[in-house]
Amino acid sequence: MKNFLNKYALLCVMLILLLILFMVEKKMAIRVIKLSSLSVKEMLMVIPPIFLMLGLLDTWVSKEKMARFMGKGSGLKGILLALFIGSAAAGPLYGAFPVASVLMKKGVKFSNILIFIGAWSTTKLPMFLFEMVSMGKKFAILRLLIDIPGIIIIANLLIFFLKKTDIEQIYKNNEQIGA
Amino acid sequence: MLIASVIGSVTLIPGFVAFPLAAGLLKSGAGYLQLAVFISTLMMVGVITLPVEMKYFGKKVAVLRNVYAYIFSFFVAFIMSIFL
Repeated sequence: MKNFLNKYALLCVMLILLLILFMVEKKMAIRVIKLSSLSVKEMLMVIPPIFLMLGLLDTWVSKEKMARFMGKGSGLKGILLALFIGSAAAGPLYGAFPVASVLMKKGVKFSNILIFIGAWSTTKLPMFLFEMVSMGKKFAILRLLIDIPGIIIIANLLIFFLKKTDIEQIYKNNEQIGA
Repeated sequence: MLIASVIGSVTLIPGFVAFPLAAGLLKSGAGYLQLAVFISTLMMVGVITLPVEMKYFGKKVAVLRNVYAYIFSFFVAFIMSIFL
């Protein structure tokens, strides 16, 4: 019971706040519920397929293959693959984390992992057309062009400031997640 | 711009809602600069998803990445303002 409370403490607090809001400002509370359910729906649509795909990836692609294409010494190949796979993804940022975890278990170089996450969060190719329509062609293309080198720079900056032991610790942690 | 970036960092709006929202704001007179920061932080910085990120990457990386992404968003906005 205590474990349950720990995990869902924040949710309980939010629900209580929502209840209070409902009694004070009904309309606003209803909007909150509508928006929240949108987010929940999106998460439900996004996460299960991702985990399914991850399961397949985990069993079908061998560690050696992954390491060859995106591990240490893969150079430009790894970077391009990381960008490409990250861009193909749609959906929220938190969807990238489990995928990154599996990639780490397969031995992908950390800089490529960071590039992957960067690409997932910004380049979002499936959304690109949508962005062009809503914000204008110039906006969308410009943002994409600036983001790509930016992602690579951020990834390398992050690695620059991390110690080797930190990175090894991260990989070790991920070995245990879902092992 | 600061307000836009803070809101973008904290919110967790689905992408297909965020773009029409931004387009609507644009029509209402919001500047391209502010919207660029908003969209960039919306996508890259996740204050609310930090706990999850920390679980996978550890505190240091998670925080650092978000900080860099936040700063980068302003950078993106500035460069875009030159061309737009």
